[in-house]
Amino acid sequence: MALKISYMLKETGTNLVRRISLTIAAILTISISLALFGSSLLARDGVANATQRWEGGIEFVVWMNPEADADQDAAIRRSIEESPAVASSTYVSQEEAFEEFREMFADSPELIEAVEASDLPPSYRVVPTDPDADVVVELGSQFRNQPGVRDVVFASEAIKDIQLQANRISNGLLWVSIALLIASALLILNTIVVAIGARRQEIEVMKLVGASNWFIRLPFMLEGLVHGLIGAGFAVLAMWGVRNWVIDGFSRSQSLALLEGLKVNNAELINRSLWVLAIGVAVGIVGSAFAVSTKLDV
Amino acid sequence: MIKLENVSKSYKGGTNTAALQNANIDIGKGEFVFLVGPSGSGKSTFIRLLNKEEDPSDGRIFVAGKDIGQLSSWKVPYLRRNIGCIFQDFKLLEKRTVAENVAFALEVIGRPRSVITKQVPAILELVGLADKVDSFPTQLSGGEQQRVSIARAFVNRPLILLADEPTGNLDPTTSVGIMRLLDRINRTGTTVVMATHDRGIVDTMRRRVVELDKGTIVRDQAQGVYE
Repeated sequence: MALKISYMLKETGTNLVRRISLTIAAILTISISLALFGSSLLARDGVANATQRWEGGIEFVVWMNPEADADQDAAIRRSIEESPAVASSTYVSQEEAFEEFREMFADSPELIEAVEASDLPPSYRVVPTDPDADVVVELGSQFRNQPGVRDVVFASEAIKDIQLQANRISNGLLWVSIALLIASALLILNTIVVAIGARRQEIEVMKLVGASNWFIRLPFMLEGLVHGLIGAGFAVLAMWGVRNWVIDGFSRSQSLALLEGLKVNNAELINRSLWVLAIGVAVGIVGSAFAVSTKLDV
Repeated sequence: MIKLENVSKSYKGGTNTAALQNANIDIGKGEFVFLVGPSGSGKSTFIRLLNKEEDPSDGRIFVAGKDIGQLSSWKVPYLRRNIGCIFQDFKLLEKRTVAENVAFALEVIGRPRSVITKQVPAILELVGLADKVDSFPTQLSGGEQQRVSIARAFVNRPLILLADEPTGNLDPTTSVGIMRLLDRINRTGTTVVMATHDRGIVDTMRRRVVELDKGTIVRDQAQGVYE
């Protein structure tokens, strides 16, 4: 068994090195496509984080005073729930607000340390029946001067615009990366077909002397897997770069105040990196498996 | 050891394409059988059917008591481990040395290193190439290359040795050496089936002769001659 494993690894390594230009082409294509794919996921995450409290058609938020008493709170709740112009509303308690805060600033433990749930105001997030800006402002303003209310904040047109454009960009990136992923799988397939062609004589002898089907196939499958894995590895590096320099750069930018909340925390980045690695491996295996099953008649 | 029951093989396309027609034969353990006949008579098809490189269109083939038509594809390699094959064109790997070519046959069926380092020199000694272990096939004569090919086919001690025109590319003197080697292997109990055009060899050896003509067995003679 030990000999079999070392034989497989040796054969796979020889195949990769023997046609180095094809190997590099396959790895580059898959890394570029996966880097785009991963970046589009990160862009989505970043925008979702930045506009978290405005998702699902929420048009304005009624911030309560943390010191507001139960009667004041009940009055506001009643007037929101009973208003015919309100489609739905969500109450975010101090604990829930703190939970959101912790998620948003997961990478800044000192900030989380400095804040307690009681520092954060509870709020009502309101979805009106009519999203027209004038109607929304009129409706929201009714709550502004009520007792117990600290402030009413509206989703600005800019935020809605950012959501829309960011979704367009990340959807575009997603489609381009899917097309490139298909190209990568085809490139891996062709690389393996060339490898099989170059080793036709050896394969013929292996069949004659009774090498098992998997013994013949596996080095080629491993070759595809290595293409996918190395390509995905580079893509993951690129994704860390995108997070650290591009997304964090936006969030530090003073000129674009709206983008301050644009953040992707480490947990999200690791999650997306694992996805990219899994997809890289899958593309490598699918490409090589297809080559092996159609071109390797064992 | 080998049994064919009403075996026919035809290829798609063309009109008269039956490569083998209704063949019936029984070859015992340790026999040496010559397959003779003109080109296109079905000798190579016969050999390829035994090795399950091809499947018959009709009939059943038994090797070592097993109906090989019933074998699932993943079991075919295990059948082939019991069948050694040699060819007119040797099918050696040019980038590997003599020893590596022989060792390759053991490596790819997962034999341990300890077995390989013991068996490869022993079989190369048997075929008379102990002094050529590090040579490459292109540095060898045709006869020597065929000996490497025989060593590779026999190193796993198969029950059956199939030889398709093994002397087809060799001069008469070299051919005699190869036949001596095959005879020696046969004496160890290995069944040998050899397709040949070489009248001199068949007439000298006087072994069982099966003659094919247009895919039909027209003669099956013990201690036979070429025609």
